[in-house]
Amino acid sequence: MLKVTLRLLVILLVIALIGAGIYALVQNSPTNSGNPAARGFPGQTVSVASRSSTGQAFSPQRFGERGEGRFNFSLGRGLAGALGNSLEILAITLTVILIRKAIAPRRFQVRTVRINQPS
Amino acid sequence: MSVKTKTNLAIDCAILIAFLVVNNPALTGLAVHEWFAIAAGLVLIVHVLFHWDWVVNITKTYFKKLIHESRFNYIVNALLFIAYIIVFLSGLMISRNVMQTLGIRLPASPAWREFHSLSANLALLLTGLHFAMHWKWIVSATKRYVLAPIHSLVRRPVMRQPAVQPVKIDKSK
Repeated sequence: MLKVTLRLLVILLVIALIGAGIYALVQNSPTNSGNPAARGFPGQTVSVASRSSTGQAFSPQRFGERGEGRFNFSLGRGLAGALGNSLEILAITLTVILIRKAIAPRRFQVRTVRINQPS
Repeated sequence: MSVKTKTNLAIDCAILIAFLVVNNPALTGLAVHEWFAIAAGLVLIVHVLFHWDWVVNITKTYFKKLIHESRFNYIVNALLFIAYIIVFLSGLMISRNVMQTLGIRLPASPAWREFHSLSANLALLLTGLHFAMHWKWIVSATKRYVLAPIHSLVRRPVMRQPAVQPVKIDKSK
């Protein structure tokens, strides 16, 4: 039991270290820095209204609205997505299996051959 | 050995189904998607725990004597592990239900949303590779522990034949 607990702690430590590294990378990335107003909570109104070169004003958008529809419950869409993912995994698997078969060294075929010996 | 293989197969099937469900938020809705992902993450940790000896052995011998396939397998698994951590972390960063329930307010940013989407796609690709690397085991374990029991249930019961054993007859007597 102690062994399992220790292993679990090691796994959690590794996850924490990798997670902290990724967090630091993303928080300091150029995508993240910039307009401080854009760092709002999902659903929070964030003014991204600006003017284009022609002077036409863009309407303000709500951060987090993009692609919101895909989070709404829809059994048909969900099942279709799950089926699509299964097919993708299957396609990758079959491709790798075929590549491995093509790369693998060919085995020698053993055949029994009758030799006619001169009497 | 067979109990371990059965347990591994059951956990792997659960992970695959959980992955397909979590990867499609439309199947469950956002709130269930978030909580279900946390449960799936815990099952993934159990999966790593079950293969602890393999991880330790390969880590120790990675730069020593090791066949290329094991090396490639190790890299795929390590990348998959990292991809899942990114999916999990970015999911928590853009979470609306889990973090709110826990009373934690995180500074959300569009970057995390992009990372969540990207890492989910990467995880899907690596899951396919992981699946392919263990294809032989999956096929043999499924045949033995899933298909064979079903087949024996469906098959008509056959009258048991008495065992026949060859007996040596001493002709000299």
